[in-house]
Amino acid sequence: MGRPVRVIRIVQPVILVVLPAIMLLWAWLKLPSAALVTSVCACAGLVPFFVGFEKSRRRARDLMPVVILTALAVAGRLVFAPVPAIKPIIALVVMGGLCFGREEGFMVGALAMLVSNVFFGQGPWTPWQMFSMGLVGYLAGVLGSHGWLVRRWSVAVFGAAMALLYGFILDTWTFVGFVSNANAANVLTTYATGLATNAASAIGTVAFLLPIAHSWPRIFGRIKERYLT
Amino acid sequence: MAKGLFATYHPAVCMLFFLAAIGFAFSTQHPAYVALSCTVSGAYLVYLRGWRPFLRTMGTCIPPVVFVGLLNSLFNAAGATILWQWGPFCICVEGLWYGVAMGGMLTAVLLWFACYNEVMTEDKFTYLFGRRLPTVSLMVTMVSRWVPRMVSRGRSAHDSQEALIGGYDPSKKGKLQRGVRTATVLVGLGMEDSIQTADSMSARGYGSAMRTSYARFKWHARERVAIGALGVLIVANAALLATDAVAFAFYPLVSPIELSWGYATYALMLGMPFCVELERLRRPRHGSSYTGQPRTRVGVPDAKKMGGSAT
Repeated sequence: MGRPVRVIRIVQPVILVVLPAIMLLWAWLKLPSAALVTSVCACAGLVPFFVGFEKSRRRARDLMPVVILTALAVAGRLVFAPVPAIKPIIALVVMGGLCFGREEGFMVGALAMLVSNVFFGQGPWTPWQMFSMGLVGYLAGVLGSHGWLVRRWSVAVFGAAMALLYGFILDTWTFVGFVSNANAANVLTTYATGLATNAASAIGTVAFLLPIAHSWPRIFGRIKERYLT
Repeated sequence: MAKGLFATYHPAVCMLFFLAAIGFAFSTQHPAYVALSCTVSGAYLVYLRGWRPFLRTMGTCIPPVVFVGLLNSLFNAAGATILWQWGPFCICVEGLWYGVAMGGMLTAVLLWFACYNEVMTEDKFTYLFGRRLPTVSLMVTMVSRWVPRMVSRGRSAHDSQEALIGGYDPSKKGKLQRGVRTATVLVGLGMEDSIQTADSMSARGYGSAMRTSYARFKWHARERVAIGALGVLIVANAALLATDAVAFAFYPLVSPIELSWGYATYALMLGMPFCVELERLRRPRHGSSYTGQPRTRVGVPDAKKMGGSAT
């Protein structure tokens, strides 16, 4: 592993914190062109992860868990398209980060949103969706590597929290980018409108995670032992 | 293949154009610029796909546009002309105008994205980024292949489990159980299958050297002209649009809209997909440029056939 990869690995968590902070600062100071700036920020936030993945020179085999989990997440979003808000994506992204590591988790999240938006329509939301879903996978990887996500309920609670975080970031982006004079009434209205969707998404994530929280890490452990060591 | 000559240009030209169009649309709420962007993007979408898809796109635009418009115009006390006030809630004329402009801006961006989806197909995207991000574009390509496979295999796994286990449980819990079981089957199957694919890729030399890709797009003189013109227009627009946007304010009173050269350069830049149609006047003898098809040489072997199937 070369030096640039190590530098990129240090940059990654920093950028995950700095970018949402820039977004909030922009709204706080009421600077102009918030929609453009926040979108560019989200794109910039994806760079260290994609480049880090590129530079780490993984074997073709090691890419396959990410590919399969991403494909399953996209297929899940397609199958669940008629049901509003309840999607298995977050559950699968959490599993990806938990079982295969933080960078893999980020890639599952980011790629799942990128590819599924080919079917659902690319839009100004794509970069932020990729960034926030990637953040979910990254956090799952961090907590997983510290051994905090072993029990079924802790995984489920974490999944629900991540569903809420994902909704929170996207709602925040909505009013930072597209609402002038963000005051209490505006902000509350935005979050209140998103609340039903986010709550449903959190409940759905728990329902998907509970049955797989124990069995999937075992299955993946076996696959890792057999093929990926 | 999307309609029109512009879609046959090198993907770098198309990408730069859409980045500029979306970036500029995103950067200002100046009503004249918003109106221009909406009109041209709408016209281009109608040209690309016809009226019905255009109206359908507009239909999907309505909920977010109305939401953003309302959020901006309600609860907004920054304007001078107050229409209605009740405690902390206040509606002013300026806020309404801002809401309309913001809704228009969002419409323009969504319309440009609809045009982008039509022109920048996935193959062009992979062509552009395949060299710089080989791993990521390989993954995107593989995921796109695996999605339909997952859906069809999921259906057969689901059906065979139902036949084996029996006792169809129509409740929500039963559905969830079946879904989870199917997903588990799919993950196991997919991992084993894809690792085999990966092994056969490595056996054929994947990762041993820089890959070469099948170049479907050529860099002709017309691409050089287009990208030069686009560059000049982008710089000119950035300067003119910034001056106009700074001079214009919604609060406390909406400034009057004055004529500016910026409108002309902006319209010229956004109208690029229509402007390149002038190329048809230049070379009346080349049959291919009339059909709107990419000019590829006949007899170049298909890259996919050469590589064989990897699964």
